[in-house]
Amino acid sequence: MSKKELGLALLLIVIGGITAALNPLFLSGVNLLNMANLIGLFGVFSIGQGLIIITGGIDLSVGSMFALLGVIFIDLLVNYELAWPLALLVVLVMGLVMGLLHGLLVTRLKLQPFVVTLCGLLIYRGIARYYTNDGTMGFGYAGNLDTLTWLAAGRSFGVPHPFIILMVVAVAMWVLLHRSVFGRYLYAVGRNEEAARHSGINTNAVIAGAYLIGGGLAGLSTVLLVFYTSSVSPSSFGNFYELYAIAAAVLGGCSLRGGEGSILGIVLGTVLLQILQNLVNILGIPSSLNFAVMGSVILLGVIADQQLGRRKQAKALNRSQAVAVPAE
Amino acid sequence: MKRRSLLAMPAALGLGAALTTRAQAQEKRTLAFVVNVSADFWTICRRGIDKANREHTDFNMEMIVPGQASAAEQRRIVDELLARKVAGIAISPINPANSTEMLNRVASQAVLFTSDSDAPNSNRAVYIGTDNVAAGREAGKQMKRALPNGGKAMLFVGTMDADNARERVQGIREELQGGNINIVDIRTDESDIARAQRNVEDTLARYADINLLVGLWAYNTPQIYQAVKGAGREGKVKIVGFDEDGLTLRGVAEGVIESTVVQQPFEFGYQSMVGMVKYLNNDRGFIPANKQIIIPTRIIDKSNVSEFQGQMRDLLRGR
Repeated sequence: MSKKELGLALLLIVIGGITAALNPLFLSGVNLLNMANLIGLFGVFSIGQGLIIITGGIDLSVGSMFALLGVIFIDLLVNYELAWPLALLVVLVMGLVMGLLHGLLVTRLKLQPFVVTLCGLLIYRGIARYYTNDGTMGFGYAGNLDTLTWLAAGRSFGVPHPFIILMVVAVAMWVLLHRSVFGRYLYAVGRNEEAARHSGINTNAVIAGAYLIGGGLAGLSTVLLVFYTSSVSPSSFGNFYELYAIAAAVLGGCSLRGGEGSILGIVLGTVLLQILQNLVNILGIPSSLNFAVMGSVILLGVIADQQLGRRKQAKALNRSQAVAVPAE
Repeated sequence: MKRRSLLAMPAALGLGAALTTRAQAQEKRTLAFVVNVSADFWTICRRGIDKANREHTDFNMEMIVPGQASAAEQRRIVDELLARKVAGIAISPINPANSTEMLNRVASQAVLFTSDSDAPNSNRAVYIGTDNVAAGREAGKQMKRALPNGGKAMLFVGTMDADNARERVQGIREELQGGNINIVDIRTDESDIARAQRNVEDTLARYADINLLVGLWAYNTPQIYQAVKGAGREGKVKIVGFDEDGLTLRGVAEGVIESTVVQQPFEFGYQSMVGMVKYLNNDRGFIPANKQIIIPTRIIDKSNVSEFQGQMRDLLRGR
């Protein structure tokens, strides 16, 4: 655990402790499991976002991808009555294809990731609304989806499946990022793409790979989110979710300049965001203050982190100077 | 040069398409229905507009859905419609109190009806839609029916700065006044469906003794239904809702939801369009003195839900 993750974990414990002291129901099993479910839902695509941010990129299109893939998924299941494994496959593959498309536009045409994915945000949302004629898609009149519903939204031994899926994804991505050559390359490309290329890394393939994984995880998240809400209104579904993902990644230690971040940090960042939303309801704080509470706590946390980091740096600098001087 | 021409191509294509539609539109007068946000509710309304258009083929009738539910976006749409010289606009104003100037500009250049949400301070010819305070009172009656011995209720809605949300709450409070049902709080979700469900989950976790949950907007009720079922508290926690989402109707059929108060958007669309045609033909006798044509709400409960489900399925089919 790095210092940054330790600090975030500490912040989580402090906030959790204060909330639990004010209302012990915060730690009730029901509430913790509800929260685990939401952490699973938001964590999966935050990890994808984190990988992209580590390469120095960004993905603004995930929220719109949820809307587009969501309406297609429901349409396939309800109106085309496709077998669910096929529909699931279609959505996952479409997510991968969209991610790959972003990656190719960024690497081959040298477009800025911000622009590419901003256009994705606009285009996918527009297509989703056109596709449904601005109507809400839902499972209201459909049946026979019990297996898939159980897989995506059920519980095993009381633990919500989205949370289990997040754990599996997190472990897989942890191995990929922290224990594989590809992971090393991701950091290298994010720190200095030019240098990485000159040292023989196929930087285009590495960056495109990050977008590909991000797209695939967004596809997976779509399925989980659709089964959480059971309906998708194309104009609002997933709105701003990319910002939750970016916030989780940055809180977890990813630098928007690239080259920094960890899977554990991103997961902890997601946990913090979900706890902040939960405590607004559990403590009965007016809903209107929801975003303000989230913003304030994040800001305070980041300021504290920055100040502590600076002091430590200064101390380290002093020490090295103190060592350096007598040596001369 | 080559680069510029490549960029110009889609723009030229778009312009060409716009010119051809304009040429077609010039033959017929156009009536537009501008809604506030995309929703199934408006899909049903669109069916009403289609019916009116079949009866009056000498008009071109269209429905326009803003990309975002913002007053600014609606204003842009209205300005464009006026530039196209449409004959009439029916609108569900997003921010009626502060849109008087825009609405009056429309009224000076075309026929203006309001629908779904009224703007009584503007020069609109007539309002055709629901009386949301009355709808709130109807919901209040359903709440009393669900809890004859009183209890604790929680309300859920997207945002409280929308007039229909305020008016429905006002109606509910009027109806419950002096009774033994206590409204604990109103939780909002800023139109984020996932947060709508988490609000219900958190409420169920926090209040072990909550008796009744009320969803004020169309998507709130299905999220309440799911959260209550997920927590295994159906029957112990009663639900009253608004509008006719597919899941809401399923919940009513199962008996998990007591009842839902539905509006008649089909009539909004149909009567607005037919009314504008009449108005343009100088037939104004249908407008009452108070300039409000109130389309009553209906209560859907276990007794009439299956028939209503069938109607909805027919209306929404093949969209």
